[in-house]
Amino acid sequence: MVFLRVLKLFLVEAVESLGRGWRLALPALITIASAVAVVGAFLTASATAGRVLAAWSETAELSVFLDAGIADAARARVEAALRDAPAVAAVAHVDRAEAAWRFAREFPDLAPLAASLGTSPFPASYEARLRPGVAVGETDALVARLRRLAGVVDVRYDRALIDRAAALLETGRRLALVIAALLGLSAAVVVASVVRLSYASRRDEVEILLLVGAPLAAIRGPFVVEGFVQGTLGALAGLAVLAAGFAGLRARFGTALAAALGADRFAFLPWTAALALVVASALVGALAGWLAVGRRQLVLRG
Amino acid sequence: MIETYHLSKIYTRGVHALRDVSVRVEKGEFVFLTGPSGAGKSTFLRLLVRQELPSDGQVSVGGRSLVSLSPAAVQEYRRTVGFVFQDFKLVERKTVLENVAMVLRVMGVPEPIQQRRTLQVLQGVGLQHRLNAFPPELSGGEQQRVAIARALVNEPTIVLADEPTGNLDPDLALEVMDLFRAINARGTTVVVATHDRELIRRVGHRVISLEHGRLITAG
Repeated sequence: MVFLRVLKLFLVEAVESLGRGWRLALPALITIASAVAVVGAFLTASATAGRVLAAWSETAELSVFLDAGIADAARARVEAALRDAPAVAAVAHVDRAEAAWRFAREFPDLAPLAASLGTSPFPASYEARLRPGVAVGETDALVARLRRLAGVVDVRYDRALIDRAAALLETGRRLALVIAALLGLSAAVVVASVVRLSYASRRDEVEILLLVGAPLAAIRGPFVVEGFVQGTLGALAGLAVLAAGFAGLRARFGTALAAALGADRFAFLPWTAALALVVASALVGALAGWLAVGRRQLVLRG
Repeated sequence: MIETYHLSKIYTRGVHALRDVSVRVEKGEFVFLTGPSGAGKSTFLRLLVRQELPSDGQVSVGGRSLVSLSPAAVQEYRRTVGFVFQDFKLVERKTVLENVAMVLRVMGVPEPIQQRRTLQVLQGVGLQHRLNAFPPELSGGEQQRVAIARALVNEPTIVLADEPTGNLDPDLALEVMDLFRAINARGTTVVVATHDRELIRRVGHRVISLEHGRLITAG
């Protein structure tokens, strides 16, 4: 009960202090909101890229191009090698005519040129869809085995591209983490400065409380809660800005993004991540408030 | 109850605020601490409330040395001491009631008890009709009475006052002194620092005199 009473007092004091010094608190709120919006945007982009890569990984394909004069027996061996491989989920044969048709569909301007050659200049191939989560080593071994088979002129494997994109995404995530840490630090410094100013404006009150023997935690409490409230409000404002930006982006480019990335892959921050951002921001604010009015400072003043 | 042994306080650049002061104030006693400006009265009180540490010597209250107290123990000790300032040190944005209750609020005292104790002490200093007034709306004497009420609300065993009548006219000064006498009559030890010799003569109690940080008389 005493704890709840004291907590309520801290909250009332903190909110009153923010109300009195809102002009001072505004830069801190803007800094926190910007930091949260930037980190949130990074997380949203990262989650979207992750979903796209996961989808690509699930549909990763292996193309085995065949020699124009491949014997039926050799072709059957290639097909058997693919169908027997545990990494392969499905196999489809693309003959030369279908390859030419696909080319004409993808590049209509060049279609007459290809048609003028008489016979299809494109090789027949096997397209194999890989199972999701297949180890890269296993796929590499399969590719090497296929390349050694008679009648195989080339093997194209888009997994390497996906792996490179995944590595790039991981680097981006690490960079985002560093940026988040820097933004968090700068927000903490701004909050600490605002709390310090609030402390300076209530110095007489603090002196009185020290002289009447108020517990040091009770004196620091309102300043810690003030930082906590700033962190929470700033984070909520940042998320609101991010949500508005996301809604605007989806309204303007939603169709194009859905076509490019796939439906439902461009989604807002999950609520757990948003909650984590608010909690982290509140804790950074509280820590800044706690550091701004240090115990040592109070003891020395006392 | 309050004892100092060879108490000295030297500030930076070698300024001696107190030199070798040994005095004793008994429990329930009313003592004036006097001397001209710069005599060391305020320093003496700051050492008694553990706002500062002595450069040399000892200061003890109720048999407990104040020098070696931990920060938490300092706060615990201060709850037994009421302090009254010359400039009142009231929080202007808080009402009379809030200024006095503030002490109990931060200690987590339940609201009904806060209310009862605050009203009691404000009644004791004759300000029960100004509960919702803000400090700037009060006269100097009223402000000092609020400060005294705030010092008393925690039921201290010692009250220390640093020039409590310094900003008041002689009639108001006597009124405030009457309050201190009433507090003392209930068994509270009272130490009042003042340079007003006329006031001391009219109130009459033991006097500890300081000059240039040295003890001149201890009554």
